[in-house]
Amino acid sequence: MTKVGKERTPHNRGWQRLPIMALLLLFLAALARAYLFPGASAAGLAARVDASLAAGGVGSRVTAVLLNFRAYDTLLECFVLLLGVMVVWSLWRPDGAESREPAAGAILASLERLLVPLMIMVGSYLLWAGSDRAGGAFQAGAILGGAGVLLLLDSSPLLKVFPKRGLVPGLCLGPLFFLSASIAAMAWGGNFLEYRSPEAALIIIALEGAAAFSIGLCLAALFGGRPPEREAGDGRDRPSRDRGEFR
Amino acid sequence: MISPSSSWLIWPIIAPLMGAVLCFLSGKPPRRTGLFFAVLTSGASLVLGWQVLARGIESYAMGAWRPPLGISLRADGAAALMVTMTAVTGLAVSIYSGGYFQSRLTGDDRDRCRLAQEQSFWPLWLLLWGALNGLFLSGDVFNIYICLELVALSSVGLTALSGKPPSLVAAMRYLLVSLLGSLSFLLGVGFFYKTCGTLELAAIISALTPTPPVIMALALVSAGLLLKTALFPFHFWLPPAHANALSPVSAILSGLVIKGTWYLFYRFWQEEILLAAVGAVPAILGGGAIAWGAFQAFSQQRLKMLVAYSTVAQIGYLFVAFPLLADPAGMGGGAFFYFAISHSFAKGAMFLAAGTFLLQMGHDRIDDLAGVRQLMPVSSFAFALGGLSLMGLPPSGGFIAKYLYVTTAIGQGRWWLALIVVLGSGLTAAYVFRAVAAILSPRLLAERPQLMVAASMQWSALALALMAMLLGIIAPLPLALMGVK
Amino acid sequence: MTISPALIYGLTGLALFVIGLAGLLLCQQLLRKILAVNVMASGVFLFLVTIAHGSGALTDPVPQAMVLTGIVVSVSSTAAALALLCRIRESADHRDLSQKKGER
Repeated sequence: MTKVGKERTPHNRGWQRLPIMALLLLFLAALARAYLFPGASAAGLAARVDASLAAGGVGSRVTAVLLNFRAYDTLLECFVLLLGVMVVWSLWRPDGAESREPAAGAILASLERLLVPLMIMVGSYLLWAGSDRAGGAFQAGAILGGAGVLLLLDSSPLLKVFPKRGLVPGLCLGPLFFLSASIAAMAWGGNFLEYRSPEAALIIIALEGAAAFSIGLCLAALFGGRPPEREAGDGRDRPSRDRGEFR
Repeated sequence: MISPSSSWLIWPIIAPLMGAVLCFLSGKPPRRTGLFFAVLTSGASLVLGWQVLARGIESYAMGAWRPPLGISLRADGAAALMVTMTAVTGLAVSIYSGGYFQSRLTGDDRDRCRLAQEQSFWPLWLLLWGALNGLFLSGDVFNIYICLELVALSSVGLTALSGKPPSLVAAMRYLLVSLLGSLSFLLGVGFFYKTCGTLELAAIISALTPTPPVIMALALVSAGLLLKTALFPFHFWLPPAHANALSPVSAILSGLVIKGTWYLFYRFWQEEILLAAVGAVPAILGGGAIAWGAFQAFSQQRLKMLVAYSTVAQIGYLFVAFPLLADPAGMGGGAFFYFAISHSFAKGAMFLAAGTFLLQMGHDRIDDLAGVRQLMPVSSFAFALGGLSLMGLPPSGGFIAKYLYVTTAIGQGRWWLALIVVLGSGLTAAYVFRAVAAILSPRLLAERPQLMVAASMQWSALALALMAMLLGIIAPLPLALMGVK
Repeated sequence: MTISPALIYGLTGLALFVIGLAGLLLCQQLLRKILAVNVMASGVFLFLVTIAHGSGALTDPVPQAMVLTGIVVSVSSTAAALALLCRIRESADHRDLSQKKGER
């Protein structure tokens, strides 16, 4: 996969690529043949989803799949995001070169003042709308994450609204709430992750709210790329850099 | 909620996930929390293993939605065996890590970086553990995809933890290979869903037919899994990643992570029709891996590189026996899993022991390790025991596995397979002896430096090596568990 | 077989997968490799969406949910890859996976 060592000039690289290109074209042809093979499509699960929708607690089919029928996938997915933050933070070093220049400017600042409240509103609407039409926790989380990225771009003073100590608990809120609610469902005699009507709708909205908040925060933290200063970890005597940090 | 009679199927997954979040929340390096959840997870896994042995196959519908609409977990003998294996190796590695991170603190200003490493290690490791258990127990192919990504991402994070340029480059290569493998797997899942209309693993496997879309789906899934398992010739990323990581991480990667994707490959390929048709392909690649890995291992200068190349060779054994599975009456499956488990214990022990040498001596050049026996007799003994199990000397687990391989192969008239296994053992002996001879050499150290390695590190390596030996003595137990189908 | 929009989308998805694969195999620079993996992922997602519309009149929500999940996974792993890339560039001048320093 990776060529180690030898320096290649553009000339001899050209024809060396040809066999790989040819193989890839053959692969594409095989893929297309498999895809176009007649009579090879099964019915899928659409009918089953519709039949169980009434017991699922929400009107939207995709939300019902995500938060109820296949809620276990969604639970693990929240963990994937959290894991992303863990990995990015574990790679950060205090002595690393600061490469990102702040994109400060009057236009960005006024854009933030205009857009961020709007984005929070649209995010909340998407969260609410998710129960019976397109929308849901991930869409809402993505918009919230976008707002966070916008604020991080010039480390806006608006970030001070969010307490620095609240960052890690905020990231964990979604996965932790999801896990606890699912274990609580077992305490009430159900299976793990079992939410049935009539309470289902309420639980799902609460879960989605927590998940959307954490997803948004995770996305912004992935962009920020730097952990909050820890008590025992990287030190306090480091020259303070304000850029790209949650404050 | 939790009683001895209810199914413990979900706890080996939930306990480490919960532990990972709590460790991440902690402001200090969460050694106690991490160890507590490691013990909890192993306990839950052992209870599950015992339940499967006593009561047969366990299954659990997540959210009480049955497949194909919902996701179900399923533990048959093979899955329970893998979860139990993970519990034993995982617990030993966790105890070792506690001592490892403590012993590395030297009181100078590099401690800050080491504390940060430990702070990242525990949540990553517990998440990886939970994801591996999820992988073994899942009954749904898309869910398996998510578990695969969790495993890959946390392994990459752990690989890069040491922060040295070679390990960073190795982690990058590992990440790209993993992503390629996962995407290939996901495209295969798409083809399966299109043709079968379900994501349930059991339903998909029972509906395998030789039509182009199904063949393409299986090819994509298998290629993805082989890449991630690092079967020869896809092994190029493995040795630098495993050898340059922190020592507990090396043990985790070689002992456990490899087995996850190998196990899935086995799940997809256990159908007899399939094995009769193309079962020779994994066997030939496996044979290549045994030869090439052993050759490379023999010519390494660094101990951890030698052990890492040995993993390449041992992966070959995990695949070489696929044709044996075609006969359901034979012991092919038992031999397979026996090999996987004893490799996990033996290789884990060897990496843990190599880690103690590296920490104490500050290097792991094989030729300069003479005299280490005098300083660390316990880990030297652990390394040698692990090596004996790899070679397949009685009474080790490796011996039972190879014995089952050879007798099954001869019983089925596949002489060439028996020959590969026996020749491979000779090659293994060659490189193991090279390392063991250096470590056990009677030469004395000129001066006796202060021992930096915590006792818990040496003893956990030895415990794991003894488990590999014990496997040969308690053989009926794992084989009975394996028989639960 | 008639040419339907779903068919075109499906083939485009497969083509994107192969194009991304070519990029991953042939490009030397790490950033390009990471982008190539993203192209592959987009191809798979497009293919999955096509499956949702492929059979019958009803759109199937299960592949749609799979795509949503897949996107999140892809965001996470891309972020990790980029962070790793930054770290590699900080520690040495590696911009590809070769072990030599300052090759380009």
